[in-house]
Amino acid sequence: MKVGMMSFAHMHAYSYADGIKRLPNVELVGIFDENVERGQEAAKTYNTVHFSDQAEFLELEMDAVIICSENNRHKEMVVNAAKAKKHILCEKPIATNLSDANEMIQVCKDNAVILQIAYPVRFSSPIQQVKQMIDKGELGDIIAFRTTNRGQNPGGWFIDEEQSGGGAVLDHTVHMVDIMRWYLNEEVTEVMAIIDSYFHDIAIDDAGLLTLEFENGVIASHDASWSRFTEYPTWGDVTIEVIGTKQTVKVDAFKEHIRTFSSGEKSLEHVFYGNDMDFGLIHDFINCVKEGREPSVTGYDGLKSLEVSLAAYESSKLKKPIRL
Amino acid sequence: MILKIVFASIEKLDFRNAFENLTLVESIEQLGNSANEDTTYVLAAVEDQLKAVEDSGHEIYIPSTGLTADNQSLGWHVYFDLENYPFYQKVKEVIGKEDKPKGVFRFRRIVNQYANNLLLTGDLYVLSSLLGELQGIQVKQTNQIMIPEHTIVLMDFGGGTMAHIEYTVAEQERIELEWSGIKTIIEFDSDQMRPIQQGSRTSSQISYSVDAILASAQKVDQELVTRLKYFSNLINGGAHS
Repeated sequence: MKVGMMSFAHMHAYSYADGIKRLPNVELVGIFDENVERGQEAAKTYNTVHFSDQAEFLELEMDAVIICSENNRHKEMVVNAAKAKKHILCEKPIATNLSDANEMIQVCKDNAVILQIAYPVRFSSPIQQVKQMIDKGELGDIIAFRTTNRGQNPGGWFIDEEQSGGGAVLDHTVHMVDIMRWYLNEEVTEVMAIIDSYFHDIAIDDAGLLTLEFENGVIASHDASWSRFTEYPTWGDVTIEVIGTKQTVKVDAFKEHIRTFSSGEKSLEHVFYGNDMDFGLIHDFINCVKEGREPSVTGYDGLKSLEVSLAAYESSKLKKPIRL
Repeated sequence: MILKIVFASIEKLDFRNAFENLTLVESIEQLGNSANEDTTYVLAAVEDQLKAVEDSGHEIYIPSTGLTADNQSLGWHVYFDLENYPFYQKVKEVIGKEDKPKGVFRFRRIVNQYANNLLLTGDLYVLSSLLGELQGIQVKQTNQIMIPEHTIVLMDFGGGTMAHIEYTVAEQERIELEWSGIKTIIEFDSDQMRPIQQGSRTSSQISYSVDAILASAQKVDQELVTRLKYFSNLINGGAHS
């Protein structure tokens, strides 16, 4: 199978490219990046060809593309790739607004290509294990969730609202809303949020707390932020506690770590040894294309988690709950 | 003779290394003639024992969850559960270093009993004195016919401080607390801070001392009662700014 990559603006592009290189019978045939220096360097690292012209890149004979551009360019690249009949794995969030997301889903449907959204957390072994426990009924009925996704300020285009569409709350809410929807098979109907910016001197949000309610009355709290500084032992966290009528289970996707102590600036460091969820995502996408099946994480999944994140901004602005 | 009598959840108290001279008694009647003013008497905070000291004139200390309309004008002292824990005192020290703390505060209790929102009211009172005046609050509760019962309270303290406090009613007592401040992060989980690991037992009881109760308790007055009513109204959907 032949795969191309569109933009290395998002840092996940590197681990996705690593994933492609690890898979047998999958070839990274080219990298499109308008940032010539970045594109050329990536092409050299992954022993492939760099293209600075999108149309020329899309003329390549390849089955699929992985899009890791700035968020506001997802639509343009998805539309062009779909029209060129390439299957697509698009970095999250699907888009910066619902109208773009809907258009992306429709164009992929019209051109009969797969649109998968990159939610690697779905491929974390402990997260999957809890999903299995839920599906087997081991937790009973779910009544509430408690989730966190906190990390470091990524800087660059992430803190430019026009390119990113939102700060920490957009960046770190979509993942956990996706997991909650996946665990519950229900949609969020109400969002209440407080969003602010104070961890960094930036003109975009870096902290937010959300309270959600699902169709069936399940309630959830979510903590999204870029509150982790470089001296903190790890980049951040992804946790979800599922409160069920039979038992409560807490899962921490990055719990599997060794603790190392040194006398440097960062005296304690957590070194993760759990499964590589980015590789799991890439492996799944390639299999999905190979088998021609419905993607594990659809464009619609991307749309619904984006909808909740955008509602959080509106709720914080209006200081009232938003009904979806 | 005026006696010092502390009503408490006995299972929460650590009697070791107490500064005060303590005697645990089962009932007021047990005090008899041998009682003396140099001793602090500790009793389980149960309704009939509280009633028995109503007009005694003794120096009475009760938990905030025991404060009712009947006993709030008796000149008793009231204390708040959260404020007595040594870990909370340390948290207060760290957060209190900032003039106006900015950050995300997350607090979660697993409790045996929800005590009709009284525990939550007391926690709000304590937290508000640390984080600032509440600007907004939203309370979400699960369907109360489902067990366990879970409550999420979203709070805006204005000026850059926000909080989620959550309560789950279950067969254990546990407190988790996190503060994500500017260049300061605090993490606490009572389950992970057990100094004694005993076999496969997973439940733990966090405790505080009678000394802490006596040091933190405050005399019940109209200002305190009004303030607690304010928080209670907020929890029950009352107006706020």
